[in-house]
Amino acid sequence: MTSVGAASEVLSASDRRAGTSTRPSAPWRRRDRWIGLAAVAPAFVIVVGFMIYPVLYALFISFNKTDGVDFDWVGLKNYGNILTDPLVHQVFLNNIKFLVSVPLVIFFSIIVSVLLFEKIRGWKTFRIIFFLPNVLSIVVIGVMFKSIFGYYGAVNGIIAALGGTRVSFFTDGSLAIWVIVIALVWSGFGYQALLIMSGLSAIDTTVFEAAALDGAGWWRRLRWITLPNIRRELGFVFIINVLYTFTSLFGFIFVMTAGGPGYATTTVDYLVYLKAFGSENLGPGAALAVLLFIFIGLLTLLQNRVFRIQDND
Amino acid sequence: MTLHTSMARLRMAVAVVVLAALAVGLSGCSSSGAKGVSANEPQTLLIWDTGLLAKTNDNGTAKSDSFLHQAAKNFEVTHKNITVKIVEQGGDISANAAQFKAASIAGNGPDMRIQYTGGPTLSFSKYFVDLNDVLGKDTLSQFNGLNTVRKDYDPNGSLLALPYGSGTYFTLWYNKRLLKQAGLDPNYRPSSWQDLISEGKKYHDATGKPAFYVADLEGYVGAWVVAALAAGDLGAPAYTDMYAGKTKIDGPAMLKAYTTWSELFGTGLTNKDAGEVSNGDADQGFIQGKAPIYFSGTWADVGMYQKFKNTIGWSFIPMEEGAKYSDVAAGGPQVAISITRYSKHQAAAAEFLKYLARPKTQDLYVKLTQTEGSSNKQGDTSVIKNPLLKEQAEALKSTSTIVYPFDNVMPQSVIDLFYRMNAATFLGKTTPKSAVQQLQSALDAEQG
Repeated sequence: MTSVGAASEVLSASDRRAGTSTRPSAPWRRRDRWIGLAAVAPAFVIVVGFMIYPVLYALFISFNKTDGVDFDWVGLKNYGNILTDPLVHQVFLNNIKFLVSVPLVIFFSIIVSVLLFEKIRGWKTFRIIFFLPNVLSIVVIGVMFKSIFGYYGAVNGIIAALGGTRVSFFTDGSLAIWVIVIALVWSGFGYQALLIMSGLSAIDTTVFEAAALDGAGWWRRLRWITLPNIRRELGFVFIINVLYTFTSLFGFIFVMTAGGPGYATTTVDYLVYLKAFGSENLGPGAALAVLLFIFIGLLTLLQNRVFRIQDND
Repeated sequence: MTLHTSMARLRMAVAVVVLAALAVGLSGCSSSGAKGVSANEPQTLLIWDTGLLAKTNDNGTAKSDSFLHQAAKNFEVTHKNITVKIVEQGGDISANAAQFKAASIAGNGPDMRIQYTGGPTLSFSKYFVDLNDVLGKDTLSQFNGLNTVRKDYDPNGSLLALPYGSGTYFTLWYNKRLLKQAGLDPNYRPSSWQDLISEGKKYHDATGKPAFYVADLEGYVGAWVVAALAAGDLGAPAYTDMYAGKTKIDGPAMLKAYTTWSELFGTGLTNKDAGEVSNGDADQGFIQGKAPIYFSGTWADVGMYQKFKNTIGWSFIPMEEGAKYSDVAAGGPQVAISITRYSKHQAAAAEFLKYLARPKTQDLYVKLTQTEGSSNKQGDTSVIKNPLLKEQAEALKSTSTIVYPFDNVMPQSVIDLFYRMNAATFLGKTTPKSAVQQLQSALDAEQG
């Protein structure tokens, strides 16, 4: 099917070839072009000023020893130091541990979205409740979970009431990671469920009806109809959650553990902050940020290929 | 007028509006680059305080005994064109330093900043005005502690801040009433670190409760104890020598101090949540009677005396048995007031600083806080009313070794790591050996 825009392009091209024109004369085209440029200028300035310039500047900083005022070119030294730093390796492994949150978020999102899609009793209320964590700031969620899992918090209160020994969740790195993962899943699954629901609503309902008539139960319909039809949404949710795990845990970590004890809960994005602002040299922090940027880019391309998000069914 | 013409004019108008908006936006984004505002013009002076001179309630209003707010109010009476705005940065030293650094690189930080003396001031030397010229020789000759805020600790270096207060020291508080209830001597004073642990064990055995109330989430308690203990082997120049490279952080003294510190939590004599309690909640836990012994980084005399009267005891943190220097007080001037180089209100900031430097203004500070004396030689000692502060001032006179602590001397990045290592070694998550090695590497990296 040829779109209207494409048809008009073909038309104007043929007009140009024929030396005739149905478009305004040359001065008008120039004026239109200026108006067009003026219209996109604010967006252009914002993209260049707030995205491209900072990225290029960070790249420049990564090749320097600098406190932000004086610059001393050191070439690839910062990159070499970062790649051989055992702390970076340890922190990267911490990030890998946080990836456990991805299947958990997707699992809960699918269950919730399917139940909401099937309009279970009270689905409108549940829809609001499940989305509520998304309107809370990360700081609020962090403080809330820190309080709930604190030594004298609600969880330990229950453990003590049941005769158990209180657990110090935040002084043990492994336990602290699990608490942060729970906070992540709790805060994220409502929004992800909405994304999946958008995919569910695009499925032809007659397919479900036919399958039901053929005797397919809830589980078989989910396995053979629902999941294959929301493959692209699932892929998208998977990708953004993996991205989130590497780039957006800062708030949770900052509020809940400050990366401790030691560096047991420090993530790469938090380490970028520590290296950049906890030192008199911004270079290593910038180099780590650039490496993280490249890693995330490659990881996203790989996931895109695996999930074949752009492919037609 | 045709529709075509109207549309064209409309487009032109839109384009003009967009371009105008763009120009206005860009001019707003750019640095004004304006020269400093004269002290006589109406202006607002922005001060960032890291919880040292100002005290605020939870809703942000000033507490009645907030020195900085009172000083600002008095200053505004005689300088009607200047409004002093005070922003409290909160209690996390590392986060505060990061915020200030980010704001300073961007050139939009405060006009004045109040931070700790030593490393936390020297680390930002590029952003602070040299106060030698601002305050003048006559004023500065009246002040003690200037060496703690000079660039590179050089006696002739630029003066990066005004040291405020004569100093406060790491302290061990004990609740005499709780000790007495446990059948122990309420007037006990530890002769050594081992003696202190032994006394704690007696209390724990008698009551089954923790003997030490520790709030080491940020690693500050470790900073006080480790700094004091290592000074027992290294003496007064312990940390200035490390900074200068004459001794090593990963030498035996720091390793021993860290080892002693790392063993405390394992004794079971502390509160179980010691690794989770923030320093901001520490006083409260001790005052609530959760344990009889408590480490503090400052002379929190007002709160202690108000709550306990004569049932509170104190001593400096005791040294280990066999320490080369057995009589050590770790601490010194803590508060430093600086003016930023990028401030557009430097003249007004200088006026306010001169006002703060007056002997009578600092007397007001001593009168309100009662945690330290005046750093001004003309300070009025009669304003010291708190009996604890009087005792401490006397005790300090007879103390043979006074050490300026690690987390004052070192660069900010090493201090941040120090706190992190203190918390980690306390909980057994990092070994003392690894901690001192990491600290030495950090100092080496920082000093190039």
